[in-house]
Amino acid sequence: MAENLASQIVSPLLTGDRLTLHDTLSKTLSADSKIRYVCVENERGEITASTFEGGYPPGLPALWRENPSGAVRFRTDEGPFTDVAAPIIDGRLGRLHVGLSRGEAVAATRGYLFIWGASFVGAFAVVLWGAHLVAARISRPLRRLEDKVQRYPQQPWTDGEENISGTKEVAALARGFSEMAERQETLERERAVTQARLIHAQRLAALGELAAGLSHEVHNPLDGMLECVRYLEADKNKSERQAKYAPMLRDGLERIATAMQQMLTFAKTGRDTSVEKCAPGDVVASLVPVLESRLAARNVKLSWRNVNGACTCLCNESSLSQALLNLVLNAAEAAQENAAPEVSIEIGHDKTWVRIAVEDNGPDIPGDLRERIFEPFFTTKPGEKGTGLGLSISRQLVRAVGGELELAEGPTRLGGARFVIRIPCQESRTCDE
Amino acid sequence: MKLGPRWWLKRIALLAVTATLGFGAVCGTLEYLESREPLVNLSERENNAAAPGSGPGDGKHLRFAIATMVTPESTFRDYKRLVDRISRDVGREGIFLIPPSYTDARNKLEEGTVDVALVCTGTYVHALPGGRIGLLAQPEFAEGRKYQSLFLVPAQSPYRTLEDLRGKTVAFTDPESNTGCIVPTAKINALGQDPTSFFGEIVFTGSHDRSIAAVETGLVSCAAVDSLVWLSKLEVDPSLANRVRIIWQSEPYGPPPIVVPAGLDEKLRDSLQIAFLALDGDREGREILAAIGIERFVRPKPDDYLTAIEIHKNSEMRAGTP
Repeated sequence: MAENLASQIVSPLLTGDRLTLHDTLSKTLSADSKIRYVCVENERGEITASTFEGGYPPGLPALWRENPSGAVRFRTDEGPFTDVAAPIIDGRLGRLHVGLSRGEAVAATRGYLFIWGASFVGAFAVVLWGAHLVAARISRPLRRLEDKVQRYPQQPWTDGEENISGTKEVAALARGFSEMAERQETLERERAVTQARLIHAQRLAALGELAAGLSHEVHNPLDGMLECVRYLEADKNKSERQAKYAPMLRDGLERIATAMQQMLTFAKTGRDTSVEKCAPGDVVASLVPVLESRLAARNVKLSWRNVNGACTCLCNESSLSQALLNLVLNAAEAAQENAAPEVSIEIGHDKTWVRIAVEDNGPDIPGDLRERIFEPFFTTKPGEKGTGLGLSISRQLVRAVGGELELAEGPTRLGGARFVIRIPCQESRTCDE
Repeated sequence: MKLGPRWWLKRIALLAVTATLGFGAVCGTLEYLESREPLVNLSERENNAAAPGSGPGDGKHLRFAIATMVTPESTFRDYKRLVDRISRDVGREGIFLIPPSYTDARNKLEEGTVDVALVCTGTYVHALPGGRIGLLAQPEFAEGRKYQSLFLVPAQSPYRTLEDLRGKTVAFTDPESNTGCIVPTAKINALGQDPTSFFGEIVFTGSHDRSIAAVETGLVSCAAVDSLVWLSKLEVDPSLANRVRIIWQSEPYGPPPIVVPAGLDEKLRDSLQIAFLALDGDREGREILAAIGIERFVRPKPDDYLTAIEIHKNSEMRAGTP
């Protein structure tokens, strides 16, 4: 503005047109309230024209002499001022000075400072709030999650405070960790169970080996002792005492022989899985005489039938016979509690399975024991009756040929327990059940 | 850690205190810096310096006027060194005066409020009958440079002769300008026409360079200008010839002279003449002369101005003024 004005006053200044010069300076003064004076300083430093009335302030030329270039700030009785100088024709005609009041500028500066400060406070408060949000939604939940991960598995995942939440992503992360911890715990439980089963199986295997060894040592002398007892019984000249105690001796020895045989069978189970075509009806028919003689001594009635005609299956006849023998003997043992003990054998089949059911009219098996009765050495018989291996051996024998031994659910025809051997038919060797 | 209201309040309070302290510090700094500034009492008064050239000569200053054949700013730039040099040569402090018009320059000379002036030929011949100014020296130009009046028109205009300018707007410089008014007026008169009725409008621009600019920009249809100014403009901007062309030029006249008041002190007069005539004797002087398109100053030859005097007399007679 000062430079523009300096170029405007060259002509009136050079031609001495004081009126035009004065008009130009006055118009500049009235154009802006911040402009408080305009002065023309000649090349000798004297004021030749100004908007001051009645002369000029002598302090101004002195100020200009001390500050020959650029803008100069100074104080006046009217407040702070800035004097801006523009050369006239490169300074050869002197300089034009414009005096600007800074009072408004200072007040405006302070106003801006205040607004700046208030904006800064506001912005900082927003930043604080934002930081709080970030902390509440992200940092702290992540830290809590990290603590939980660090303490796991010493401290269970579900222990302690409520679920970790925050942003969607943090919550998803926490859920992911939680599910992973659950799967970890489930796997841990399954591992423990598997380990226990493995230990149990190893114990059983060791026991089986021990039993096999023991029964092998006992088997031969036992056979001899039974033979001797048979001779004694067959003696026509036996004494009354012989006639009384020989059968008792024979029973005891036979029970020992049976137990030894079961232990041997338990040890051998699974080693011979050869299968052949056999008719379950024929197997039962061949066993019936043996069974009847054994059961007759206990007054147990034995009955058997083919429900829906003959059928064949692929199995190991010896294993099947052994399993049936065990089941029938167990059933007879259980039926003893009935006044008229009875055991029945029922053979049936469909397209897939051959079922041989052995039922008794003894007491039913309590619900909590239904699965345990198949465990080796588990027995409900009191005292020293039974080894607890019969059902376990029978199940292993049936499974070895691709079948299953189950305890039937619900009430039975005779009112007691009903064990079912299920073997695949010859036409279908796969078990879908 | 739960961020409750107290946490927030503490931090916002801390922030507000910090901002307030900061604001106070800045304001305090501003106040301190302000207190260190110089103090000037704007209510005191002293009289303004005297305007240059006012009042009679005091023997210490040389009041040197240059007529505005070009604009005041151009006149100042072109002739300041000449004024300073001549003033120094005569042992005085120079006061450069640029009268706003040719008439004002003549009046100052006749009143004796300038000591020496470079004026238009028209001003000299106008003042000559009064006998109150005298020739001191006259410029000599390089070969090919003559002081003539030219009629200029825009280069693309259809104007070819003076007759084509009938009814058009013409730019003259000053009523007392020889090449910028008197000679072209005489020419129109010689065609049996009165310029005031021949031209559609006559505009006085005040200087020859303004007249050239008026033609160049199309503000006027034609302009009567000083050939010396035209040549100076061409030297600065040769492409001007593509935008402006000459359709008429006069015969040469006596060049704008250096004149002094008739009553000027003899000693000063002689000193001035010596200073002008010796100007081309050193390198500084030749540079000063070259900047204004002059070879040298020579003793005045009054016969060179006879033609101009005659034309002026005839125009005065036509105007009915003595």
